[in-house]
Amino acid sequence: MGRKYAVALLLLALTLGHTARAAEPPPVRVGSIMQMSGPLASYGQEAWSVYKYTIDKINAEGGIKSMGGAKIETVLADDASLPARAANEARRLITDEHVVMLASGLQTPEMLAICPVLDELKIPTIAMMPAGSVSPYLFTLNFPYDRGYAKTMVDFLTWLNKEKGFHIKNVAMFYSNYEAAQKVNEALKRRLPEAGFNVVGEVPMDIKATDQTAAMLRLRSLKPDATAGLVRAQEGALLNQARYSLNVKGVLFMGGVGGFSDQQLWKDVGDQIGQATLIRDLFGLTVFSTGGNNPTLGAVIEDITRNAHLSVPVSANGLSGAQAARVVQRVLEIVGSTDPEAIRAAFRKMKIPRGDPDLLINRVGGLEFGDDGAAVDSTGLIIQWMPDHSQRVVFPPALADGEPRPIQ
Amino acid sequence: MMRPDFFQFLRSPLLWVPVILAALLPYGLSSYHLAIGTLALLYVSLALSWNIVGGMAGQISLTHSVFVGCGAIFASSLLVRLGVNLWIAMAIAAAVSAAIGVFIALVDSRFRLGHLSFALVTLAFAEIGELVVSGSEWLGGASGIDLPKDRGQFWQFQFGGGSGYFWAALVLALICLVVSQAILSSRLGYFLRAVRDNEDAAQAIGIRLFRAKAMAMAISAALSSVAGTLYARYSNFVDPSLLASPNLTIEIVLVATIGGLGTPLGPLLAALVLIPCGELLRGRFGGSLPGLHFFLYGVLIIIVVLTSPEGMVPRLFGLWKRFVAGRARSRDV
Repeated sequence: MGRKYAVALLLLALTLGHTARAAEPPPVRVGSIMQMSGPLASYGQEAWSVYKYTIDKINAEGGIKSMGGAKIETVLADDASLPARAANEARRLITDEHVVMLASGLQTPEMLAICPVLDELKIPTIAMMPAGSVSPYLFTLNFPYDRGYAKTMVDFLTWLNKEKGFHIKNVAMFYSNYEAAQKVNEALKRRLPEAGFNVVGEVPMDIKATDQTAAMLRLRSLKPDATAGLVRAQEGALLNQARYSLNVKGVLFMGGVGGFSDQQLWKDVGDQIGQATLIRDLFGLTVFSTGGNNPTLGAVIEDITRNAHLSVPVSANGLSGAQAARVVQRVLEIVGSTDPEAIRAAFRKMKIPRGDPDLLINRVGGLEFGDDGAAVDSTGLIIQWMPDHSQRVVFPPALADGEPRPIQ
Repeated sequence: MMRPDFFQFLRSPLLWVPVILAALLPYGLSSYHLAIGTLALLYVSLALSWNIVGGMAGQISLTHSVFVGCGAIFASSLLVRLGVNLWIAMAIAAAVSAAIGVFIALVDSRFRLGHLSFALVTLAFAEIGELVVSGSEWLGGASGIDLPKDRGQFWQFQFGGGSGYFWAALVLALICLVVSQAILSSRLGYFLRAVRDNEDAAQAIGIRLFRAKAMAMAISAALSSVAGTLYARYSNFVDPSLLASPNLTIEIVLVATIGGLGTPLGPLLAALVLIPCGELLRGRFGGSLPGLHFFLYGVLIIIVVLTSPEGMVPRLFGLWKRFVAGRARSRDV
């Protein structure tokens, strides 16, 4: 008799278990195209690790509530840091893997390459790194070249003069000679004179060079008060080495993003050069910063550092991965379905206000997407380095947790 | 004057049956696999074009990214900046590429560059080409050029989606194959092979070196340029980091070398195998084992260099001939 009860109970348990599994909503497949190999692999790998960690966390916290707790299933594709391959991988994820949206790394050329595919197959995408969008289906966390990067740099220099008693008049364009910097340069050349600055010359840095001493000598000959422009992490390290060896003083170095604000700089230049250059007369533009008065960000960074098992300290790339994951969660919560057109419409409705724990990017206006696919508030952060390798945000004032040091 | 084997080649079912079967692929393949097929066919064209100079004439040219870039970037700039019809822009870019090719042949002939010097000089041309593109706003700079949306207007060099571009790439690959075979079966083909095997001896028997090399370079450059234009229009976006980079030439050289230089079959089959394999491997393992396709590519190159320096296809043909001869012998016994 007892044995019969035991068998009946076992059958009941199995049936209930099966029913519960059957009631579980199907997962939402979200594809990701990342630079997992090739020259930009360090960016893609970090962004992917933090993105995946955050998605796993969302799933562990109950998934998408408006879809009955549906879990997000990630499908990763490697574009080998090649734009043409990114387009092919987008096609594969959409047609063969049947993803309903994409959350991808994508530098600007990769964004330009995949947009025709997105337009053709009509799949919404949140991208972490491109400066702008040329598709109604692509939304970006990064700044547009003009109203994001260039405007922030010019506003910061103007603010230093007006509010902090700096005397900056002559500005030299100092930038890595690559696609994004060239675009920002075009905007800076227009905005700087409009704001009353003299553009004294341009010094593009050869991105294949292994030494930037010649560029630094050319810059010094222009006798600028300040520099402006986008510099990649590689040239950032080389320019600070050249600054150190030539003992360049009296010039305010200002620019973004990797070449001025990436944590990797300390490792690349070493502590001695870093203490002599990074914390002196240098301000970096960035999208994300570990500094600034965002109380939730500190907890998120601590959580990622402790649990995501990254091989490098959390940087802007990692935080953009975490922010993209939260955007995916928000739009899916709004739409409550896997219809790509409805998801695209949800991007337009989504808003993460300042103070919300899901807002990791420090922006006064929070995060919402404008008609151009970029954030409505695209004001960047200007940071300065501290001797302990941490960052303090000095601009915009509403987000600052530090005061700019005067030129030494 | 063509050798009769060229006309035999044109009539051969071994040519037309695969072409007809390939032309039917868009009806059965997914959009993703069709895109891989298109890419493979574009690389067939590029590898066959390069083989005219690198394989038949034995001149390791590393400057072909300039020709591809000219077709992709210069033609696209003519379209976007000046509104020139892309068919005409393609022809202009091909003519410019051919002229650059002739100039390089002139430099080679004037200074009697050895193989290594020729490779280095052409690499320098490729680097100059990349710098010119990245520094020129008119050519799109390092940012590249976003082409107008494809609306399927054939007279505007628009082929209206995946199938159209696959067929266009197939036609171009076929043209490159026929041109390669035509050169092989003509006096020019003999001249080029003579130049490849011994330049001094070729000159001694009356071959005009500059003329032969210039013709090979011009034809190769023009075909590469046309492939570049098609690649750009297909991508809808001109990526200078791919289409003007010497890395592209290295990739083409690798494909052609692994397949086997000299005849069209080696580069053709290598491109048809290696490019889809690389794409499918990355698609299958890119998420879990990023970079695996690079690793396997590297291993394959090492194996080919160690076991069959003449290339995979000549090696396989050799093995096949030995197998057939062995069977015939055993039957006789």
